[in-house]
Amino acid sequence: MSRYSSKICRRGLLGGIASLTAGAALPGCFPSKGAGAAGAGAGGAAANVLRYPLTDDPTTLDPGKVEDGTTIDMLQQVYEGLVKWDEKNQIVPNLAEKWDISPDGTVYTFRLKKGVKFHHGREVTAADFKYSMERACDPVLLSPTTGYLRDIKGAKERIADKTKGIKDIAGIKAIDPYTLEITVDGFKPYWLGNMTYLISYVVCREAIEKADGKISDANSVGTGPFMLETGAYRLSDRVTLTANPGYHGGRPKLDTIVREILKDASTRLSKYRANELDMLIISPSDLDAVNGDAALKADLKTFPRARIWYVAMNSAVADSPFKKRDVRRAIAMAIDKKQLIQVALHDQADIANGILPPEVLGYDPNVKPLPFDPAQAKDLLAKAGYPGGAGFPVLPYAFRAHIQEVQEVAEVVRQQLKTNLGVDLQSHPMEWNEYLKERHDKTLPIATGSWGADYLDPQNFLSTLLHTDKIVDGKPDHEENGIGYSNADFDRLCDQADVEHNQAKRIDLYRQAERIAIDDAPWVPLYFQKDLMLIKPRVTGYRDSVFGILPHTQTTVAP
Amino acid sequence: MGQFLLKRIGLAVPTLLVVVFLVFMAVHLAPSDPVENKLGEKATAEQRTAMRHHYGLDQPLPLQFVRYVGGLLHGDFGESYKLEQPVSTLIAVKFPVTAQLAIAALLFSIAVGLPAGAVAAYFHNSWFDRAVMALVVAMVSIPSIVLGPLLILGVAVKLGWLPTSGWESPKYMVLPMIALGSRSAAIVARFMRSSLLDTLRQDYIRTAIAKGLSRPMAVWRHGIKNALLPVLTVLGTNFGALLTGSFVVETLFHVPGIGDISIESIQWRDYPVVQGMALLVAIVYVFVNLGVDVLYGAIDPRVRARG
Repeated sequence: MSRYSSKICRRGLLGGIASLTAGAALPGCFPSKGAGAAGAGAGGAAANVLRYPLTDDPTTLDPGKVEDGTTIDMLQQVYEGLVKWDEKNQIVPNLAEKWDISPDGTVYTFRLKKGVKFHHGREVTAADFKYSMERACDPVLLSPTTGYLRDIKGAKERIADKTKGIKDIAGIKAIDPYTLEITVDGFKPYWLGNMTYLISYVVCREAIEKADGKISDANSVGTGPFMLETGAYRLSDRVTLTANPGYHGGRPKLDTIVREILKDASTRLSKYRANELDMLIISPSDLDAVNGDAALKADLKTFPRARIWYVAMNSAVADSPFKKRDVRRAIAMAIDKKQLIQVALHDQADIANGILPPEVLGYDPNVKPLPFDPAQAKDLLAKAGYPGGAGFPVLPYAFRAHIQEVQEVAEVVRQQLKTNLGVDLQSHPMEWNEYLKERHDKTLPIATGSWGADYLDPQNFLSTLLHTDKIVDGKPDHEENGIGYSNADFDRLCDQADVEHNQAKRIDLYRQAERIAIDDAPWVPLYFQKDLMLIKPRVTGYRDSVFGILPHTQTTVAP
Repeated sequence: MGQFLLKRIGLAVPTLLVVVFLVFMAVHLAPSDPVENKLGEKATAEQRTAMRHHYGLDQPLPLQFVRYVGGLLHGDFGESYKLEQPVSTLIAVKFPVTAQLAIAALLFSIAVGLPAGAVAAYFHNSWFDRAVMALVVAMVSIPSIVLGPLLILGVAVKLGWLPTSGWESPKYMVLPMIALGSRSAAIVARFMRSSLLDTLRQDYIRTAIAKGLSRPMAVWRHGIKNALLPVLTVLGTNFGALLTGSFVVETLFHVPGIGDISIESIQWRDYPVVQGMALLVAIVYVFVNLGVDVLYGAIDPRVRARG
């Protein structure tokens, strides 16, 4: 008995290896090949398929809720709004073919393009836009982006009211099927920029109601050049978008866009090298690898983004040395931005002399920064009571962890302050959620921060970020100014500029305000971000604005 | 045997409860919460308060814990804050992939490790033995985070033999299987070698040879199986590690298993996912150990008799 069973055991254990290996590798264990697998083979470039990765799972498939750039880039292929950005960073017609603005600047009358159809075939009307925006304000949705709708008359009250369901917002009226009237709660020359955000894009009521108010790949119905069909999103694997043959702007040239979800930067680069990707956004820390490879270097393109990176010094914390203007100015004068960009960013960024990025209205190419002048910086620091840095508290220097170039920027700033001023700061990498929480709580003493434009207006930078009290819903709510900066002259200039009808005068007021902020130095503006992208030569027709990649209506991929 | 199994499973319950409690406390006591990530940098205080309330994060911690355990008892692992999908769905979709990869890596380590170790022991102190041992030291020392990119660069990018990453068909499995299984293969080879060396010094082997059996036959019939017992323990613990330790390999090779989601849910403070994954890992270890004990019984009658 034992002799017999022992044979079975041995065969079972050793001989079973072969059958198990085969079992583990059964093709049935892998996701079925569908559109999702198109062109994904090793090294094979597929015609009419554009392959570029997502760096993470989409945070949502609902345009009413989407907040992060990665997901926005994916969903803007599927959903569309009244207006859109073009390659020249201008707001141009999309589903609205034109619009009129009332003389007082508060009533926008949009004429919708006729014959625009949802992916399932029904024509889009003004009532769909009204539904979409009112739905986005439903508290059930917990949308983080309702701020873009807040200026519409009645929207603030709706957002504050916690009752669930779709409720009428007085400022949005469907006059007839092709006329939509939106009333804004005051003269806001920048308001139209809000309508480029996905929260105002049109969604399909019957598709959403069928799924109990939720949007998934099973009921993603928009009007965009690409469709997100049932099963097109495979968790942590990929999202596949299929061309919309009935697109109102003409059928896109691509058949499919495959967005593999690739979370590791080196994996993404390897896949690009192996010809498994056509496009890839990289970070400055990848530049060493790219510059060392002639083929990759030839594919490198840079794109400016309306995003400023800065050092924020918080005077809201008790006993903060940054309460003293001289200290802040000393810090600003001790940072060598040119060296910083060279060392930490491989020269792939533009020096920020002022606060407004070049693409923003009112940008002043001749704006004077505080000069890099270590000698004067030392004098100022001594005058403030910290000669040679003596007695300066060792404060934690906060920055967002897990992003290499952000870490390198922080290290260079720390080194420069130590060398040039004798000020010693402690490196403090923080997870994103911790960083955000402390910024909201105004407890970060000194930190690297960044701000990307919501629309290309100086209000979005100066008034939004550095005004003492931005009033939101009748209460002072100024988390963006998480550093306690307050200057009465600056506030007055911003207040005037925000409601000024004459554009030249408005720009002049903002420029005056910007100069005050540069001299007071609550921030040290460091640089304006550029995105780095590798694009294979076979990809053509790719379009871009300062807000990122534009929908792939013209993109083609040669075989 | 049935009683033995029941007893072991019964003993596992308190272990799992302790895991649930510790992980719950650890993630909730970590600074900040999921709402910040969920809403991003431009949300207002009001929006954050509303979301905390929606998810019950404004409740006292003990109450949140009781609710969570209550849910678990009804088979409800909660819903991911980030992906807005039930944790049970995430596990159902992703764990089979991880299990596939782990099984492949285990089989790879058996297929490579056992013969290599056995032959090295058989030709003890020969050049082959030394070569195997040198390779073993290298394979144990090179972590998958180094081996993975080397394989991708060499085999996929330079030679173009296999895809760099993904999970489409069996050929996609080869590189991650090697990256994940090589360390385990080396460990198996080392244990097999030393275990077989011990066995070969036993009297019964000498007796078998004295009775006229050839040396290879004696080793094959009487040596290998007896040498396998300690190797099995190693395989068991290795399998647990392979199932739960493929995080790096999964990320490198873009394998849609539980690995990437586990790491990122910690950074994200996606409490239900962290808790669900930790519980899953604990359950896996409990059952793998149980499986090893059962296999012991199958191979060694003495254990069965005691069991």
